[in-house]
Amino acid sequence: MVEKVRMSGPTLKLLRFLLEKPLQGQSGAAISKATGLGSGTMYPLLQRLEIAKWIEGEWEKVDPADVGRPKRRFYKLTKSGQTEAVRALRDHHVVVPGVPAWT
Amino acid sequence: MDLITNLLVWLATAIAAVLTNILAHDVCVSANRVCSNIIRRAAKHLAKFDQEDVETEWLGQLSEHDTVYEKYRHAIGCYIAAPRMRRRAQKVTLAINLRATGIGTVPLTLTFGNGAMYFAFAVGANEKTPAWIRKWVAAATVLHIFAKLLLSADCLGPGSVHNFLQKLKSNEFKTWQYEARITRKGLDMDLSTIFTFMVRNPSQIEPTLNRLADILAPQQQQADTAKKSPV
Repeated sequence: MVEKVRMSGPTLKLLRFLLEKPLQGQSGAAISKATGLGSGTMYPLLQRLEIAKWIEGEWEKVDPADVGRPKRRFYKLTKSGQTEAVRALRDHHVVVPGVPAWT
Repeated sequence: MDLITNLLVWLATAIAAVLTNILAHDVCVSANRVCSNIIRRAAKHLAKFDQEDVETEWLGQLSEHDTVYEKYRHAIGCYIAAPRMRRRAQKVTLAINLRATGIGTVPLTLTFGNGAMYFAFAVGANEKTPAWIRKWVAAATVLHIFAKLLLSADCLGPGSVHNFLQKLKSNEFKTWQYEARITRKGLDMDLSTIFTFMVRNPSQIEPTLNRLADILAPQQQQADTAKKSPV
């Protein structure tokens, strides 16, 4: 069963950002910088979307000892997540990135 | 007199400036260490199965922030987010679809982990709770689930409840088909076979649920076993 996702301003901001480059994973820091969401809002949101299977997380494929820092986790929309995100943004009259407004 | 006052003020200002500078330098130098400690403490507030991964992720993000302000903002944000994330991660959802003859597919979703269902199970499972309260809570829970089932089956019209109850009384529900799925963060199990087995063999409900509880909370059980048998 896929859970319903409650739409709020931060959720729409996050979905819009992830839709800009749907194939490219984004780290928490990149999302935070681009959307202006603080960690206190962003991480519960990412968790909610991940449980609802709208997004999926993938660990960076590096050895922490080589790069000298902990591994990062990248988030990107799933196929069903992309469809749902586009629908949600349209429902809330937010311009969907990459899709002309008149379509 | 004015000269002495001015000199003293100047001296105090100079000392304050030096001390503030030293303090600011210390805050900047220790930002990584302090923020890492805040994040480690925050991670302890997460669900046990989530702690290691999320802590790594948060520490990873800490290294991506350049300024001291951003580092502290991130660390404090994590601390605020952790309890909310724990509550969400521990929420278990049981989704059942029953295909009832003459009614159709009836979806029923039960959420455990917070709210009324959690309260009911906490009270029901506590042996110190007086028996009559446990009975009342059990009855209320059964009624709550049954009401949800009737609402979902659209059986609230005149005669519909009676018809539905007749189907249950005549054991017709044992011939229905069931789909059951239990989900939690990082866990998605198809329980259709087990659920159908429990419906058709009610005496097996308790042992099956116990086994299921062991699967859902293996870490807690291991920790309890380790406590009971010290080396």
